[in-house]
Amino acid sequence: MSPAGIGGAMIACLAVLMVLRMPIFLAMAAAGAAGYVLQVGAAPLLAYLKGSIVSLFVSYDYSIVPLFLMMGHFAGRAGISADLFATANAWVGHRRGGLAMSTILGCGAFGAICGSSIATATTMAAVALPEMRRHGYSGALASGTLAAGGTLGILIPPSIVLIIYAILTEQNVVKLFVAAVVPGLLAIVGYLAAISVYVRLFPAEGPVGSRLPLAARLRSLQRVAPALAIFLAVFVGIYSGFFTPTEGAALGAVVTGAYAVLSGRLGLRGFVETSLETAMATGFIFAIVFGADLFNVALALTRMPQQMAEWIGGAGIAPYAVLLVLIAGYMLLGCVMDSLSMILLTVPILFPAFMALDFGLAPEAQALWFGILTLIVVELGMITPPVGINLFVIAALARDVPTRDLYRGVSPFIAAEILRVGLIVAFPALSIWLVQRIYG
Amino acid sequence: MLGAVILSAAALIVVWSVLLRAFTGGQVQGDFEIVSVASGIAILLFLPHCQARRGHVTVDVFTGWLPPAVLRRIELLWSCALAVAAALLAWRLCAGLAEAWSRNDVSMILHIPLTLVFAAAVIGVAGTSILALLQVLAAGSPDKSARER
Repeated sequence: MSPAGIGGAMIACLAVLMVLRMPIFLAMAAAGAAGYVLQVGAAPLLAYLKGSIVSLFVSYDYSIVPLFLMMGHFAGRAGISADLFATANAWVGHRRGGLAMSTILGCGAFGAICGSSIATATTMAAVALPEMRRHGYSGALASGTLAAGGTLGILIPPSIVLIIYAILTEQNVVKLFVAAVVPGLLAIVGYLAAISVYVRLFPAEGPVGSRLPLAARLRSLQRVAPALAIFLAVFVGIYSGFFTPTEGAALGAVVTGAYAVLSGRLGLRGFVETSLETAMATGFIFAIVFGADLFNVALALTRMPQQMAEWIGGAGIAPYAVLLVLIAGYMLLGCVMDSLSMILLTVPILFPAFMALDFGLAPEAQALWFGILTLIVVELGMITPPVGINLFVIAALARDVPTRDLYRGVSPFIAAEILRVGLIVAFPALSIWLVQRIYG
Repeated sequence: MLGAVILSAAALIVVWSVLLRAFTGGQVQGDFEIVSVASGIAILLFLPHCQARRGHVTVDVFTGWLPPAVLRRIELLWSCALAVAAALLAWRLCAGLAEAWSRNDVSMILHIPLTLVFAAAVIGVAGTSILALLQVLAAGSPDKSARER
């Protein structure tokens, strides 16, 4: 078989195995191993497997992932999400749909110290879901808000997806985080707007809360102090370059853990549970990292990604047309795959092709822009039916809400996100401006 | 569990190093090696737990309509495949371990023996394989799978 034929067969084989419900990482590893053997034989593969997993996982770049995950789980345990939610509620709770807006604001703030979507959705759901239901919010609005709010965990830096993207494309992770700030704030604004439109159309679903006096509001600000302190300690350090992102993540994990212990919410049992949550999240991510590595190594041997890059670069297709096709493809793929597998699988293939296009941007700016765009469209996949991880998480927590209601509740947020993708595509400056301001 | 303790310890060492740098200008020698190795070991030791909780992501839209009994069969089939694949990988890692041992591979600055990491890899991957196998066997005996539901 020709190399290109093998490449095509690998992709087809991967798709079939995944449709047959094989765990994604195993499907990638199997298709990759088969492609490897077909091209260079079994012995080199066996030799490769001797050390690949070790050299892959023992990496300073990757060590940031478990550390940030641990930090996020500590933060959830420490009750930071409840504090953030309560404070947001003190300020916007009296508006129509105010509790939903507080949820979004709380998720956004929590997202600034947590890099994982699922962790954000679960910890926030535990706090906000009972509260919203108690105040007569409809299941659709409450669950949709939480599913969408969870994505802020990843959209607002730090973000596991951006870290992986940075490693795959050899970009500076700090600059990527900075580039994600303005689009992330835009996401919060978009979600808030979606809620306010929704509750105007269906006023019964999001009743008005009571207004707190100003003194009580100001007092509520105290409760965000720990979260703010952690955020400042970690991210000012990272953004100013005083320490590396990995050091920042380690510091964050220690500080958050210490706060959880001091606040009396993290005992020995809590630590065991948090460890197991972290282990679970880390384990599935790195299983995919391993599978995707094998697949991509084998695919790179076929030279298919390079050929595709050369072809797209030379074909003279309008760059924006290619970009739109890419985005549409990601959205479709996002309906059936999780965000991390998508990133690990597609970025090594598509990134060279994308960089071969001319958008009139400096290469680094273009790489950052593509990173942010990819982040947004794969995150959109987490809340698009039928397969959105966040939807599953929320459906498992809000058992009384029928799936149909959940889909309906999340649709305004999807609309807001699509609008945002349009904005980011039309104005690359939204992503790049802040980076250029800070780093020149 | 052990993985989390190692990870926490590594995080503490880094913080110590950052503080040292902030106040004295020096830092813990080769702290980045400690973090890399420790988190690598932690990740590898986390793998069996993920298998135990069936945490691996699958695509289930296309098969969602199948009756639960068939889905369980499918899951068992892939657990078998996973057990075999992990066993194969564990075998290769043993070879890697032996090689690292005979060459006495160490890290650049602190001379941390790489056999440690390989040992963790073998434990993690072989553990995953054994767990997957146990899951298959457990589901094979009818009374147990009934209790699980």
